[in-house]
Amino acid sequence: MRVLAFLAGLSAAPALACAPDPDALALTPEATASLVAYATLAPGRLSQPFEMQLVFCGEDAPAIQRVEVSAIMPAHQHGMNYEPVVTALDDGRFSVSGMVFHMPGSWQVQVAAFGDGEPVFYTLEVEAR
Amino acid sequence: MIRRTLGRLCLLVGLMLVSAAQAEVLLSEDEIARALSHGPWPPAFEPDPSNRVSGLPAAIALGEGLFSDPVLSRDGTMACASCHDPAHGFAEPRARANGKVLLDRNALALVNLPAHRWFGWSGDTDNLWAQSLTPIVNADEMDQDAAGLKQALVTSRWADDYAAVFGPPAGQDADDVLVNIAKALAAFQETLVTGPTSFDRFRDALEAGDLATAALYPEAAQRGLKIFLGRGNCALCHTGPAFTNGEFHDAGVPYFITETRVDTGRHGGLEALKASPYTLAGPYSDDPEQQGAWAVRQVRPLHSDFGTFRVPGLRGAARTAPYMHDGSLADLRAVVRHYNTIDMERLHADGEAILAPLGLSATEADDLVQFLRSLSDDQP
Ligand code: HEC
Ligand code: HEC
Repeated sequence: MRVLAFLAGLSAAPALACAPDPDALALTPEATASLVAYATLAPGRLSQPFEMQLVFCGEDAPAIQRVEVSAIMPAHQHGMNYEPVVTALDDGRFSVSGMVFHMPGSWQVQVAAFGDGEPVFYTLEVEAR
Repeated sequence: MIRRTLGRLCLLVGLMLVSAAQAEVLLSEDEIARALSHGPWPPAFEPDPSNRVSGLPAAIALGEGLFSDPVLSRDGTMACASCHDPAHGFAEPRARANGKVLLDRNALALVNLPAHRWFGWSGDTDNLWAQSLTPIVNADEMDQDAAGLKQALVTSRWADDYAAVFGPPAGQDADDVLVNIAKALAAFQETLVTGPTSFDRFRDALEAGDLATAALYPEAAQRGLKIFLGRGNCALCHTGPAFTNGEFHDAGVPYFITETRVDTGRHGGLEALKASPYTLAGPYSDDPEQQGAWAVRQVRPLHSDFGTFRVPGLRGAARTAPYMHDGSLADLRAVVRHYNTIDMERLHADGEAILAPLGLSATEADDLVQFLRSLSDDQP
């Protein structure tokens, strides 16, 4: 939390470490977070596995060692039936495979980033059709 | 959202072009967009990479022959076709299948199988050849074992056909012979695909913007489709071109078999899956890349698995009464009545909050049945 609290005051993330895709979506942090996170995902057909790319932008992005990903349907009180596999790439990037939305409607992707301090939580609302 | 229905436009076009046109398209633009997700149909054939004889004509012919031959059962009395009757949509009219004993479940219709990721009502297997192997060695069904099967094969009329596809059985391990036979059976079953129906002609016409042709789809079926996509919530689980999301849900069908015994559904299915050597991640798959094995590796057991069953596809369903995992509903009318008056006490308390009594009128219930039937009029 130390590092994060310190960084919270800074506005601009270092540009170099972070060049999210043009169609990347900004994740919503649970609380003020120094790391800005983006996701690129294109869920295709329902019930078929898809991949998601995550990028964390900010000075301590390289400190993130581990990311956990899940997704729920708030309206139906269930999550995904499969455990996604997260692979760490360099520069605060993570690749996630085995995401499956098996029902049409509103899904909330949930991301937890574990670095030096307390984990930081993010969400992203996605509509599956 | 644009609420205007295309119906008006259609009527206009209809009046101008086909003077006799009285019918119209009743769906809103949003409903049309959702209807399109249930096609196109049929899908192009893609060989199963885990089965090296998938799509091979000689294997399909062998599988077709074996399917109806009781030689696969230990006492020579039971064939696959005994429970999966081609004249009954590859299901059977009895509620629960009768093997050596009365089984707990209704025989699934063997059509459109490549659409599935999991097989059986509870997904005990992740591929078609493993599912085809199960009844052969199940003591309550064909009650055979690998050695007995190999013996029966070499002395049967299929010995040469088998050798032509898989090589001479004599030098082969009995377990491999069992798996090979299951793969030939799978190659045959993959070809059992339902044809395009009046719903598909409607759907394809909508996609092509041909409203005059679309309007030929009966209005009762269209009204039923609107309920299916909307108020009925049916399309939340019965998704995509095959009308199934391939996963496991609680549809409010009781899972008590007797007062003291329950069908645990997906819960037991996952246990069987995890114990099986015949998965896509196991040594009997022919796919060096193990495509599809991610599912068995990454599937997660859930508390809510208990008493859930695989969402059945709905194409061809009008031919395969009775319905549900225990065959407890006699016809499509009874299925619609079930959803219409669903007993909330029967649903998981911590469930998905999707199903609730629909309050459909008698006419609306009929419309929904008409729509369901329109998924089966590919055959007379
Ligand atoms: C005694 C009756 C009986 C016999 C004989 C039988 N089956 Fe079945 N079959 C069933 C029942 C019941 C189910 C549902 C099983 C379950 O969910 O556990 C089923 C399910 C299946 C499925 C799963 C379909 C799906 O949609 O997932 C396949 C495939 C299948 N059987 C193939 C075969 C083959 C091939 C044979 C012959 C080797 C055979 N069956 C013999 C009763 C039978
Ligand atoms: C929550 C997911 C869900 C919803 C919503 C749903 N179904 Fe189902 N449906 C299932 C499941 C699961 C089964 C099998 C249940 C069992 O055997 O216990 C099933 C079975 C069926 C069957 C029997 C098919 C067969 O071969 O046995 C029909 C027909 C059907 N549903 C139609 C509908 C219609 C019409 C609606 C809307 C009124 C609907 N379903 C809504 C999940 C759902």
